[in-house]
Amino acid sequence: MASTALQKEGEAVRRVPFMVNRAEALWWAYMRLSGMALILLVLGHFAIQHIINDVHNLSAEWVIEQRWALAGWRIYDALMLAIGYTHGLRGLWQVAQDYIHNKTVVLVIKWVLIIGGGLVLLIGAMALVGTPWRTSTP
Amino acid sequence: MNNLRLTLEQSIKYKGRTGQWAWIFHRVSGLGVALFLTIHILDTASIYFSRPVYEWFVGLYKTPLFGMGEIGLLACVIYHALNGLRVIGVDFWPQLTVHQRRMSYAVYVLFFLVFIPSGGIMLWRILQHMGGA
Repeated sequence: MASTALQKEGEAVRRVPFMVNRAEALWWAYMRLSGMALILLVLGHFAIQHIINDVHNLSAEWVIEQRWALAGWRIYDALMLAIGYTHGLRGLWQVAQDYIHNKTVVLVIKWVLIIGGGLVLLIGAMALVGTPWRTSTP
Repeated sequence: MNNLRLTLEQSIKYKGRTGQWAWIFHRVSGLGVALFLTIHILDTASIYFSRPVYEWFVGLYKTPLFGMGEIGLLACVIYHALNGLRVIGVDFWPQLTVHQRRMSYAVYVLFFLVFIPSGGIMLWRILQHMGGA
């Protein structure tokens, strides 16, 4: 912890840490910035996909031929995937940190979040990039 | 598990009122959305990896039970979004702290204003498909 206080000989200096960890401060800011973006992205997604469009009309043909045929929708979904899932993983990370007091268990959960979360992001990204080259007939 | 019980017990006993309940609802709704999001990414991605798996998921989402779950998910998303906005407001403009209780109540009012019509449309549609399917 850096401290800029000039210490005179024999005088006690009260060091007040501003933020314990720079990464924590950046994550704090990220949760708020990503949260603002997600309000627009996720509520927009919910309104269009779950309320205006009926889930009963959903099919693989429709997704491939109509929705993901437009690059714009794949960019929209990619943004939601990247911003939304990292926001969610960080939230799970904080919940584990706050409520589980066994340090080993917390460490295991954090590694599960990093590796498991990374895999889910990779799988989602592969589908977004690869699907347009698939034919709509199985 | 002991921690979980302790957390639940103390959450009910602790008299933090509006702010504390907003905190609890924010965490619970966040956990719900994060859990569903994991499933939702994988089911959507299955369109690329395995068509039968994708069709199975879509069939599952068309059942009334999952339809109700979808309404619950909507509630979580709307609350988490509105309360998150309140948290951002208080964090970036600390002078808003004096209005924190009023802001918590405003979140509940706005929540119902948004959730009742949108959830109602989804419920109506589930009932229609149950009757006419």
